[in-house]
Amino acid sequence: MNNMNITDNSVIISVNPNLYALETIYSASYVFLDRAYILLNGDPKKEIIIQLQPKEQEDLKKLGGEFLNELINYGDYKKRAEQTKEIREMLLQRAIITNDPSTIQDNEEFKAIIDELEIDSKNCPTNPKEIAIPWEEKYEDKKKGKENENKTE
Amino acid sequence: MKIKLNKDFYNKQAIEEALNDFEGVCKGKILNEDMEVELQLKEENKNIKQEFCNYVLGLMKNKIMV
Repeated sequence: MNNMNITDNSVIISVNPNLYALETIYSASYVFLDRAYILLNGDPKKEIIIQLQPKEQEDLKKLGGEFLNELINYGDYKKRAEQTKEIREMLLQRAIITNDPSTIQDNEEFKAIIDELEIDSKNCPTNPKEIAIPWEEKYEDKKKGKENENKTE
Repeated sequence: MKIKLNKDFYNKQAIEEALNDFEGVCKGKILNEDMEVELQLKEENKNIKQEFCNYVLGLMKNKIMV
């Protein structure tokens, strides 16, 4: 499938909107605003046509290829942003709560998150290998015992 | 000089703002709901049409109109 046509002074790229979201096409276009004149056309549900006309003398094939690469770049960025949306929101909420706990006083959503975290921490096995006990507390008795043995000798 | 900007991709508000910003270079107006824009140049400018399209896109980016 040939989705890149080169004319006298511009390159015309045809994009399938099922593969690339409109936001992705806008984002890729913005990158090229300094290098080329851009015109968007077509049908956002069937076929999006992007016309790139370089502002200065430039290899049209290379320009078109770089635009297609930028589409993949932003397409991937968008997908990852969607995948990590929840975790990013959670981290942000956690940071807000840590810095200003008063924010949760009137907010039911924050209260629910805190309750959930508390339940999680209760369900978590408490220190099964005694890692959380400070060294002094754990070995103080043994140390004192040895000292006493040395004194008696 | 007429430009037809596809209404599915270009925001009317951004076009109106671009027309205001381009007042020093040209006089223009939106002719119809299909976003056909007429530009009357004050001075000869070879790339004004393309610059106008890019400017509209740029405005849409800055204002998150998309």
